[in-house]
Amino acid sequence: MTGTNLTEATVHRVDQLASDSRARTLSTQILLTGSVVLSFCVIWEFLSWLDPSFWPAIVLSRPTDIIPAFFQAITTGFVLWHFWVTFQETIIGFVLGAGGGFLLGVYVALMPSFRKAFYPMIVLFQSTPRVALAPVFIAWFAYGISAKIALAATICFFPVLVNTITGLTLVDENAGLLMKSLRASRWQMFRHLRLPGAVPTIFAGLKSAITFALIGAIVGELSGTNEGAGHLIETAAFQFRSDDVFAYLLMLSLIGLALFLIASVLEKRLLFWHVEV
Amino acid sequence: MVRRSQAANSYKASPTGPTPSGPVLTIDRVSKVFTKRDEEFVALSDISVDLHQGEFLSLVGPSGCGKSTLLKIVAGLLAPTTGRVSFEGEPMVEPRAEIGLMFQTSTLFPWRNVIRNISLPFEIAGIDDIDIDQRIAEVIDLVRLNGFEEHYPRELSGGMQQRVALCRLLVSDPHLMLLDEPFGSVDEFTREYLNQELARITEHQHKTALFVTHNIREAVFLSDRVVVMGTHPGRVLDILEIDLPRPRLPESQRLPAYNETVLKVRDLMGLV
Repeated sequence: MTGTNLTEATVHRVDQLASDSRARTLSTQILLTGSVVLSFCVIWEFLSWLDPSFWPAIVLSRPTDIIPAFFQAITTGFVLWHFWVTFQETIIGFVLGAGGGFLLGVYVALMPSFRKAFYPMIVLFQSTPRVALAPVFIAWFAYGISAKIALAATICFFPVLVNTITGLTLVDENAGLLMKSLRASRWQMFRHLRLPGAVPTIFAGLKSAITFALIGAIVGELSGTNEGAGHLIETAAFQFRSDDVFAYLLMLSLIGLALFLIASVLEKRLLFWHVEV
Repeated sequence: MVRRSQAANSYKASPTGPTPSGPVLTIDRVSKVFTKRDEEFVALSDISVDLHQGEFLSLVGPSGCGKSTLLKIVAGLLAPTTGRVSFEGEPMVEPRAEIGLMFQTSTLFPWRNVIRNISLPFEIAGIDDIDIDQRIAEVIDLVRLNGFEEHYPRELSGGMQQRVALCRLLVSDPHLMLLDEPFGSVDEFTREYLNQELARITEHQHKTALFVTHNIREAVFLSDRVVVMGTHPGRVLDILEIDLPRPRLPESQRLPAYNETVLKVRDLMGLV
């Protein structure tokens, strides 16, 4: 009896220690990252003042120009509208591509004969640089939003597809035997063992897919359309507005980071049980 | 052939087999041949043994003697090449709900907490009419896991995980327990403790069990009979009766009969 209580107390103590050290690691992390970014900007600024002829402002702006340009950009209606277009393309492309990748992945994983037939083709597509499809999609869907959604969807389709297949195929053999001994149906096997077991692998795919979707949308916009953040950057670069180019880039980075963080938080919530290896 | 005193059977009504006199399990001239790249490998050759109500039977032998294969055949997860297995008088053709299985790895589902891992058999069988919570509380009590109901497997030690797996096995009150080196991956001290717990529980509940191990001492400690197996091909060398009093307690291992039996098994297996 006392033995049990002691062990339980130990477990709680260990939890407490772990969360303390996690908080410490996080604040150290923020401090480190912040100082690296700051030093980088200071050196950048310093070098650009040292020899303005070497780095003309039209090629590479200095941080003190970029920051005001950034704040102006995020308060300018038409800039925000272009970014909104990019954001929509990214999210819709992600939902379509990742959703399709997941569904086809489930189908391929559950049909062994299908898997054998499909896998070589999946590997072939996987090793094709899919951004090269941008002109094709623009030819198919014209200059509207759909070409860029199609590109974003295509790019994030494959990591989700491959990870879904991998996750659903790698099942602990004994856990499978246990389910069989409990007379689990195929559906129960999928619902209670294979799918939950595959979630960590699928999530890894989703996390890369969300940033891939943003890349797809931007590449689509750079390939000659007249809306979206990619279009803004291209125009600003043509007009030698280097400070705006960097301000837009910073905005895109922040969007990408935000999407990745949302995915990470979701992952932490859903995969609290997962032991990281 | 019931060797436990009926007084030990006070926990609840014993599981009812259809024929009280007949064996619970009959393994009748079972052989298993695996074919790999046109090469035949005889995993099991002509195995025959009966298991009676309330009996604890161990299969002990070195790796490759086919003891785990035999367990899978008994579980209905693998078909024998020749021979047959009958459970409660009926031939085994598929897994049976009255047979519970436990492995060396806990095979707990890490995304389920202790309670939800233990209730898995009910969920799979679609049973919700009996008082499941009560039943789960009973088995948690039995293996002394109280206070850990809401914990997840990663928060538990290896030995505790195996105790949860034992709960999941016991909760559906199986007529036959199949244990494949259940404590093979925990340290020596935990293993000894868990073996004592297993002896206590099987005696208390009058359980019929088939236990696979390569540990001779644990086989002798737990069993009513030990089937000594050899390799190439996997076969039965001898079946020994274990003449030790019940209940089995840690002190049982100090009895001369215990050590004599261990030595006898070692001799049979050709160990010095």
